[in-house]
Parts: sequence; C-alpha cells; structure tokens
Amino acid sequence: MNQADELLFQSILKGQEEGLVELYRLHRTEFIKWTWQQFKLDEHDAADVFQDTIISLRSNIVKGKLTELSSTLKTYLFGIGKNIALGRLRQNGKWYKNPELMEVQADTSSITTKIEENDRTNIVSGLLDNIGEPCLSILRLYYYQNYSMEAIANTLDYKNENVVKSQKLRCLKKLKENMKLVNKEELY
Amino acid sequence: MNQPNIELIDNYLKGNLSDNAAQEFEHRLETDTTFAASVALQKDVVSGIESHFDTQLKEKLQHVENEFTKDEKETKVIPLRNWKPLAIAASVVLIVAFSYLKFFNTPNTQDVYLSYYEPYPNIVSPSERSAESQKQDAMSFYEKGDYETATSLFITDLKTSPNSDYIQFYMALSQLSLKNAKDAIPLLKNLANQDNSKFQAPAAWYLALSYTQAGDSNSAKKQLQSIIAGEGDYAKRAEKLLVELE
Repeated sequence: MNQADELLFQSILKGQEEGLVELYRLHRTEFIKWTWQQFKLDEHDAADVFQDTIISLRSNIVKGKLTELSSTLKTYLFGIGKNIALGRLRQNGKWYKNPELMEVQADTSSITTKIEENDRTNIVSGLLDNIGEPCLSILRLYYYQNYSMEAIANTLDYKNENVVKSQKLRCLKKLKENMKLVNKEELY
Repeated sequence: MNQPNIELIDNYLKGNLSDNAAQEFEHRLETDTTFAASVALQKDVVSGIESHFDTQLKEKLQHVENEFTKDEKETKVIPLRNWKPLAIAASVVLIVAFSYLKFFNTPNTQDVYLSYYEPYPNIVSPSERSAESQKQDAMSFYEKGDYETATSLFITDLKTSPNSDYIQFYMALSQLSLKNAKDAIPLLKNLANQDNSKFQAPAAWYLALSYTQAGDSNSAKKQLQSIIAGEGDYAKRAEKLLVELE
C-alpha cells in the first residue's frame, strides 16, 4: 500500500466519512468510463454501482476482511466494482458467460433492494431515526464501525467498557421493544 | 431473553468466538428453537443498523455525485439562435411565479426558526459547576449535543436546586433542541422576567424562538417587540426575525 492509500485506509477504518468521499471523487470519473467500456453501463447506473462499491469497500475494511492490500486501493475498488456491475447485469438478464469475469463471488445486490428484502430490518432502520443519543452512537460504533467496547468507551468518554456494554444492552432492549410496538400497529 | 445471550450472539455474528465455542453455538442453534429465534432477531437488528447507516452513506455519495453531473451540465453550452421568444416566455414565467410567491407564501415559522436557532454556548464556569458533580455531567452532555441525557440530568438537578437560573436555562435549551418548545416556554418565561440574572436577555430571545418553533407566531411577535424595545444585545436579531415573521 502506498502512503496515500494507507492514510485513506486508516481514515475509513476509523469511520471518517471524508476518506470515502475523497475516494469517490478520486476515481469516480475513471470508474464510469471503465464500466462503459466493459459493460456498457450508462452514467446513472455506473454512478449507482460506484456508490455501492464504496459502501462495500468500507464494510470490508471495518470488518477486517481487508487488512493488507497487495495492490492499490484503486485496484481493489475496481475489483469490487466489477462484481457489483456483473451482478446488476445478471439481474437485468444480461448474463455474461465469460468465466474470467465471474472469478470472484460477492454480494452484488443493490443496497436499496437489500433493505426492502426484510421487513424487520426495515423497521429497525426506521426506528433508528428516533432512537436518540447515546444509543445511536453506541450502536453505530459497535455494529457499523466494528469498534471494540474499549474503543467506544474512549471515543464517547465512558468510564470503562462495562458501562458501555450495559448501555448497549439497554439500547437494544429499547429498540426491540419499539419493534414490537411497530409490529402491533401494523397488525391492526 | 436473558442478556448474556446477546453478547454471545454478537460475538458469534462478528466471528469473535473460538472454534470450539462457535461449534457449540451452532449446535445449540440447531437444537434450541428459542435460542435460534433470538439469533434470527439479533441478525435482523444488526442488518437493520447496517442498512440504516449504509443508506445515509449512499445519500451522502449521491450528493457528491450530483456535484459531478451538475458541473457537466453547466459546461454544456446549448446554442440558441432564436432566443428572444424564449427569453420573453421565461420572464413571463418568472414574473408569474414571483407574484404567486409574494402573495401566497406566508412565512413558514418552522423554516424561519431553523435559520435563527443555534444552541447557546456553555458559559457556566467550571468552579460554579463543580459544587455538584452531576450538574457538570449534565452540562458536558449539553456541550456534546446529547440533549436527551442532558435533559434527564437537569430534571434531577432542578429537584435539588429549583431556583438555579443556569439549570433552568440549559434545560430549556435542551428541550428546544429536542423540538419540545412547549416544555421550554415556561422555564424561559420565568427567566426572561428575572432582571438580575445573566440569562435574562438570552432567555427572552430563546423564548421568542420557542414560540416560533411551536408555530405560535403571535406570541413570538409580541416577545420580539419587547426585546426590540429593550434595545439590548438581541434587539437587532429580533428585528430581523420579526420582519421575516411578518
């Protein structure tokens, strides 16, 4: 990894959005040109694919699936992007039989369709809009940024990780109670 | 569902369990249906949390994308040979639209409120606060923007020192930030009448903002007029806001 990549990588690992935005700005135009040459995706679809590509890269980084890059961040990004683009083409019925293009399996469905797949997931996502602090930050850091309890305690100024642990359990309890309420409302 | 389960499930879902523990977990998953249901629920909660923040990130990236497409559109020059009729048509549309806005657009008090509201900085000195550590906590939550926790701590503080002006003031501001203007109004009213408090002037101003947030523009206007008449620090701001509300 070169130094610029290393900085971006660390920033994404910490959960700073700016790193992702910078990555988007750096490679967006080339990516769109490339997906046009490779798959004939129009600008709008290509941009959508690239957004999901960045989101997927973020997830891989924070979940530790990507600890060291043998090549550059850009190569890796285009690798993920290729899989997502192929997945879209498959969904649209344009199946590419070239086995070379199918080498890596990845979750390629659009973020948007993923959300609609599951009602319960959908409800949780909606409830988070109103859950308030400190729950929102704790849940984001623990589940989305994959922070350790100790790191959360440091970031949010808690005395120790046990305080965060019990606060997290209270937040989940509240969230699950609210899920039940929403479900009941939908039944009647 | 008992609580240790959740931690175990989280650790399994994050891949933090040892091979043995993971095997044991999977065995239990197959044999214990209640446990399996808890795991399924927790999985949905986790993916709900992930979708929530992924969606936010996607929106952010779409904004960034819009900057690119906007730039492209702006640089494309469309030659217009016969521009006069178009220009006339455009001005007619503009004039009609403008008069429509002028006559029918009464100011939306919520929008006005948002453009004026900003949380008041913490001006309570550490020595004043250190008397009781809990108050300091409430203030530090206020400073961090965690108004919900701040409010609940202020409520306890008010029970022990009901006449403290700064607790009343910052409690009201927390309520205002949480969009509970109705709960902020009585506290601010009380403070706005205390001429010897250093929070008197800001309280009067935030009282006007509270009325604006609550959509009560009549009371807001009255309050603003009294601020203007007082010719204090907030008079200029009050004049501006009054103009917008009218």
